[in-house]
Amino acid sequence: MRSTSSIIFFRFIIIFLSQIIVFNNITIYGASADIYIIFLLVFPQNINKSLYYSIIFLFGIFLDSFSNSFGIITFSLLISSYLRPYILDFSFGNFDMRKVGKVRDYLINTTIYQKLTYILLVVFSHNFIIYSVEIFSIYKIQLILRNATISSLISITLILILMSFFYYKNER
Amino acid sequence: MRNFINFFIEKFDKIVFLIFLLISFSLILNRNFFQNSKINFFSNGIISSINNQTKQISNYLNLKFENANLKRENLDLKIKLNSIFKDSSINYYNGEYKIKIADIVSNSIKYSKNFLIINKGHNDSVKLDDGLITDEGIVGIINQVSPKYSTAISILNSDLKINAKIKRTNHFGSLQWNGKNHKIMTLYDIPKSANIMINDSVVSGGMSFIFQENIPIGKIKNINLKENSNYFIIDVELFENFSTLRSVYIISNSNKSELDNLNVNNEIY
Repeated sequence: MRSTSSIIFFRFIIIFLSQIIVFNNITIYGASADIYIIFLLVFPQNINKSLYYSIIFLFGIFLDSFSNSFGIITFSLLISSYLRPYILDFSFGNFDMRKVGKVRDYLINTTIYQKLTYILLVVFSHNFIIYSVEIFSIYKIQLILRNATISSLISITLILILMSFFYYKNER
Repeated sequence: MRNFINFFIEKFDKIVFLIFLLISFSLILNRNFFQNSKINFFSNGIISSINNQTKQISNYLNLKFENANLKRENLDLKIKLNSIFKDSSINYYNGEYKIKIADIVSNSIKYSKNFLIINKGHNDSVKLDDGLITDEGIVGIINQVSPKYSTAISILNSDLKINAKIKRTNHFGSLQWNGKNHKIMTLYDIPKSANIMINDSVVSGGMSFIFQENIPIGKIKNINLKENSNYFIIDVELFENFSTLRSVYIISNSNKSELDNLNVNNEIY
C-alpha cells in the first residue's frame, strides 16, 4: 500500500520535470502546452486544506522560476485550487463529496461528458486567470480570450491523452 | 480573546491561502518595475545555475544548427570588413560601443510581457540599460543585474517601444509588439507622405543611447492606413526567430552616463 504523501511527492517530481524539460519547449500558435495542471486535477481530496495550498504554492513557485513567468503561474494555480472543490461538485454532482475521497473514482467511473466538464472548467479558468493577470488590461480582452482558448485547447488535448494512460477502466 | 483564537483556528486554511496569494501577487508586481536595480528572486543564485545546466544539454543537441549559423555570420562579417575600407561612412560597431557575448539561460515567447535571462552579470561588467542584439536584430534591454546573471526585457514585451526607421526613406517611427505573433511587430508614426513599399527593410533609428543606428530588425510585411489618420500602421516581419534564440551580444554605450547627465527626456528606447 503506497502512502498518499509518497504518491504526491512522485507526481510532483515527474510532472514538474516533464513540464520544464519537454513541454516548455513546445509552442503552438504562440501558446505552450501546460500539462502541469494534471497535478492539480488529480490531487487527493482527503488532505488537510492548508497543506494542500502549501504544496500547490511550492509547485507553482518551482514552475515559475523555470518558465520565466515571475509568479503568474503560482497566483493562478492557487486560485484554481481554491475553485476546484466547487468545480468538482458541479461536474460530478451525483457523488457525495465527503464520502468518496479518491479523485481516481471520479476520473474512472464517470461518463466522458462529466470528465470533460471537469477538465475544461479547471483548465480554462486557470488559463483565463493566467492571461488576465499577465496582460492586465480590459481593452485587450479579445487577446486574453484568444490566448486562453488556444492554450486551453492544446492543454486539454494533451492532458486527455496523458491521463488515458494512467486512469483507465480495468475491464477484467 | 477566546473567540478570536477560535476564529483563527477555524479559518486557518483560508488565512494560509490568502498569505500565499499575497506572496505570489507581490512577485507579479515586482516584475513590472522597469529598470529595477533590486536583485530579483528569479534572476540569481541556484535557480539560474540549474537552468544553465539543463540549457547546456539542449545546446549540445543544437550544435549543428549553431555551426551553420556561425558560418553564415562569418561570411557576412568578411563582406562587411571588406566594405569598411572602401566606405568610411559605415559606423556599424564604432568606438563608443563595447561588445560582449552571452548565452541565454531562459527565454519565453508565450506571454505578452516577455523577459529573458542571460549568463553574464556585473562580474562581467554588464550594466543596466545595456542593449542585447544578434546579427539578425535587436533582442532586448537589460533591466536587472545580479553578480552572475541578468534579466532583460525582450522586445516581445508590449510595454517596450523601440525607435526604428525605414532604411530606404529614413522615416522614423516607434516599434511595438501587439502580443499576438512572435514574428510580427507593429511600426507606428510613419507619416502618410512617406513613399514606402512592402519588403522595405526596417532598421534601428539611432535616436537612443542604447542601440546604434542601422542594426537590422525586419522587413515590411503589410501596410495599413486608417481613415482620417495621417500615419501608417505597418506590420514588420522580424528577421530574428525568438523561439530558437541561443546566444546574444551585449552592447554597452561607454558614453551613456555622460549623455544621461544632459537630462534628455526621451521615452522611446
